[in-house]
Amino acid sequence: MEELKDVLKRVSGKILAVEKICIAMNFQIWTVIMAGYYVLIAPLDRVPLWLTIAYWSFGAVVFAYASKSLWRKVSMLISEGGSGKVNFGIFLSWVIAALFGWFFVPSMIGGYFLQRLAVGLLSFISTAVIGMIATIYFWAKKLEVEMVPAFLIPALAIPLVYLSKNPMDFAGMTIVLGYGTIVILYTIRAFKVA
Amino acid sequence: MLKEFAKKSVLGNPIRLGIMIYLLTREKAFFKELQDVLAVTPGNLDSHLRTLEREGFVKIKKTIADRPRTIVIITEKGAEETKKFLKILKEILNGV
Repeated sequence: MEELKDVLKRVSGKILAVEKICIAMNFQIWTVIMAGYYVLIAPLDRVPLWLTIAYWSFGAVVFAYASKSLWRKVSMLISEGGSGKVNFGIFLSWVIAALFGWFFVPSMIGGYFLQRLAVGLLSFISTAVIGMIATIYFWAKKLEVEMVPAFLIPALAIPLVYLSKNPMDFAGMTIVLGYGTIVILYTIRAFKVA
Repeated sequence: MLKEFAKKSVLGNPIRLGIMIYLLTREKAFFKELQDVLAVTPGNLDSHLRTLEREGFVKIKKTIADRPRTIVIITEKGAEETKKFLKILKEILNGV
């Protein structure tokens, strides 16, 4: 009986580790796409709007393609009673956060255009990640503590946007920092439970 | 209690449970891969896979790349049932 308990514990640990690694990879893919943008624009004096639109459109397609199977695996592992609810909840979180961050927040605050845009970006990411945590908590009965820095770091950085000389670069790198931190946390957790 | 619980479920068989746990973390696997991991004969594995397919736990597909291969894919129902089975099994064992 003790042997069976031990086997079951190891199996559960492996399943949990796969879940954590898949979530970490999802965030890491986005971090790489974001970092790629900053590498691309670094040598430019002025960033043309078409380049930003083209890069992020391309980035979004690459991300959707790369994370599709990863997320399917994650939602299958974390959901309780169907992954559809989890997927829909997360999709809704990003849609609401996009409206909130890109339209509502910049129209409600002061500062020049790039400052308002940077605050909007940070608000968008913070709200979306809170939505993801809430969705997983309600539909999968799991509290993704590792995900907390991904909303907390951008949220805490919002007041600092007004002190920054390059608000959008600051906002982008803050998100990279938040995502990078949770990738480390998820990886540590995966090793612990495996 | 444990025996009764195992008898009631399709996953009560260790090979079938092994197949499902393997697929749960990978989503899909080749027939040969499952055969190697579980150390079972092709006939035995095929019979267990048919049972799982009948229950809607897995989908079996034939693919032709360089040669014909059989691929086994876990379904959402299969994933849910496996997680549920493991959860109940853990509860029973913790109570023993």
